[in-house]
Order: sequence, then structure tokens, then C-alpha cells
Amino acid sequence: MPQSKEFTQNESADHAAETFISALRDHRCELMKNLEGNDLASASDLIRQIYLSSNETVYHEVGRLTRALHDALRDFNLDLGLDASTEVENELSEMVDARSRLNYVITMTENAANKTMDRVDEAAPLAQSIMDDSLALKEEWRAFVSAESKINEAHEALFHRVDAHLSAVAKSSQGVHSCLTDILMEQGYQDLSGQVIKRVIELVSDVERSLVRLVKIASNLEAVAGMQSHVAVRPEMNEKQRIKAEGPLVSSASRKHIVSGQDDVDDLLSSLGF
Amino acid sequence: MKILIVDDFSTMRRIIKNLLRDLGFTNTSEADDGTTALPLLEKGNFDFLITDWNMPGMTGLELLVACRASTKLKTLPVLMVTAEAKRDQIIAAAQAGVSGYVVKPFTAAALQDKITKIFERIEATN
Repeated sequence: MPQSKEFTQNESADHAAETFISALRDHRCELMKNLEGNDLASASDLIRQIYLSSNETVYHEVGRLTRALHDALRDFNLDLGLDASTEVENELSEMVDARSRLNYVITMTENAANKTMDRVDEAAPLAQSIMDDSLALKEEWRAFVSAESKINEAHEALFHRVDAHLSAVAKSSQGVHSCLTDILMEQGYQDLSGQVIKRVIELVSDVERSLVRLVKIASNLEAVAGMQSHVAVRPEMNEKQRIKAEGPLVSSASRKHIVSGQDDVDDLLSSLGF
Repeated sequence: MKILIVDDFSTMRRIIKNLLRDLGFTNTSEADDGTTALPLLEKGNFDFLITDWNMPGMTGLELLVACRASTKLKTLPVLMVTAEAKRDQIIAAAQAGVSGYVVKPFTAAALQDKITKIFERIEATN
């Protein structure tokens, strides 16, 4: 957002006050004359004109801030699209607004969670069969050893080692199974974070709708105040506004449009002259 | 034992399905909200319903109320598995006739415990 577009609330209020005083000063003689001549209608018109001229600054600023906010949101999308590597450019180009970006996060986390659970589904039966096999083999092994009448010391040691190993394998595979269950449970983050993201998507939609309403209100106020502004606008904005003031969408026909998407919002804003 | 799992997030449906399989329940079906779940419940012979609360279309609480209002489903055991953790909400679910309430994130043991308790209660009343 260019620095020149920024205008703080205080500056704006100061500017409005200055404009009001300046307009009052300019029309002082005329106003006095009207009042002294008891021409109340003209005096009233004049006061209204002075009042409106100061408000115009506020309307312009509302419009300008709205435009700046909207540009910032649009630039956010463009920046990410331009910075994207070629591999993901196609994917990113489909994500034209913040909502689709957030939906993208939901999809990505969902895919990751599903891939993780695919692996859990593969690994869990393996752990189970290792456990079952080692327990079964341990029974057989014990039966075999106890049936042997002659066991020397070396065999005795081997018997204990194999027996301990089979027990350890059974225990370890049970541990692996329990870890896999934990990994499975942790994938619940996708649901919980997804719910939060969905709320943010609703918020973004609400903000966008409000933004469009604000632009409409600002444009209506401008229409009431009149675009022939006495307000000194900064040069680059003045240029912009003069061009936009002739824009087609200030016509009543285009106002009938129902705003339904980002493109409509862009079009609406552009043609409204902010 | 035929179980219906209702959640708008497929990830969560899959987690619950896997846990149920570990517990020995393999006859499960899925639905993504109350609107799709209710006709399944009315048509099929489900013995148990596990549902989320916050879903688009028909919420889990609305589904629960609809079940309790139905002649066929009024005694169906319903376990709510949800991130809605406010006291008022849990009270509302209880008043609507929920059989159990598990708050997300939950552990495998917590789900198992609730399911076991629900089945024990059913057996005690039969």
C-alpha cells in the first residue's frame, strides 16, 4: 500500500475541520449578506453547502480507506500467486481469495491426515500379527523344551534367551500398536483446526460483505455531497478520482447488481471511484 | 452391532471407525450430517449412533432431537463426540436425551469407556 494513500483518522478529522473553517471564511460575506437581507433560504443553502464540503473529506477518506483495505486484500492474493513456484502455480492460481486459501489448508491437512492413517492401517495389522505369532511361538517353544529330556547348560541358556526374546517381541509389538493408536487419535487435529478455519472463512466472508456495503454507503454519500469537490485531494488521488468519477457503475443500472464474488467486488470498487 | 458414525470431517469419521474396529465393532456406516444420517437411521437397523454436534445442514443436536421424536429411534443409544464443550451445551444435549458425551480432542480410552458404559446401561434396563 503506497504511503501517500494512508491517511490517519486524526489527519482526516483535522482536514475536515480545516475545510469547514476555510469554507466558512470564504462564504462569510455572502452569508452575512443573506442573513442581514433576511434571505433565510439562501443562507440555509449556504450553510448546508459549507457543512457538506467539510463532510466530503470524511466521505472521501472512508472511500479511500476502504479502497486501500480492499487493495491490501487483493495484493495479498496476487503476491502469493506471483511468488509461487511453477509447480504449485496452477494450484495457487485457482486460489483467488482468502477463503479458497483457507479451504486449501483444510484440504492439505485432510490429505496429510489420511495419508498418515493409511500408514497406520498398514502398520497396525503387522504389529498385531508379530504379537500374535510371537506369543504362539513362545507357547510352542516352551512345550518343545519341556518335552526334551536331555538339556545341557548351553541349551538351557539358549532356551532362556529365545523365550525372553519372544516375550520382548510380543511386548514391543503391543507398544507399537499403542503408539499407532496414539498417532491415529492425533489426526483429530485436522477436525479441530478445520472447524476453527471454517469459522475464519465465515469471518472473511462477513468482512467482505461489510466492505462492499461500506463502499456502497460511501458512494451514496458522495453522490449526496456531489463529486465536484472543493476539497484539496492529494494529486495522485485527484487524478484517479477524476477518472473514476466517470466510471459506468455509478449508474443506477449497475447498482442493481448483486455482489456475489471477488470479481464483482473488484468491479464494483473500481467503478465506484475509490 | 450396527453403528452409524456422523461427522462432517471425514478424518474424524475414520478415526472413530478405526477405534470401533479395534474394539471389535466392524459393522459401521457413515454420514456427513444430520440430513443424510436421519434417512439412513429410519431405513436401516442401526443399534448405535455416534454423532458430532457442529455440522452444516442438520446439527448433531437437531439429529438427536429428531431421533427422540421418532417412534423407531426414540430409544436408540446416541453418543455425542464433539468439540462443543460449554456447560450449557452439554446440559442441552442431556436434556435432549443423549446417552453419552465425549469432548474432542478425546482419547481412545475415553471413547471406549463411554461406549462400554452405554452398553452396560442398555443391558441393565433390558
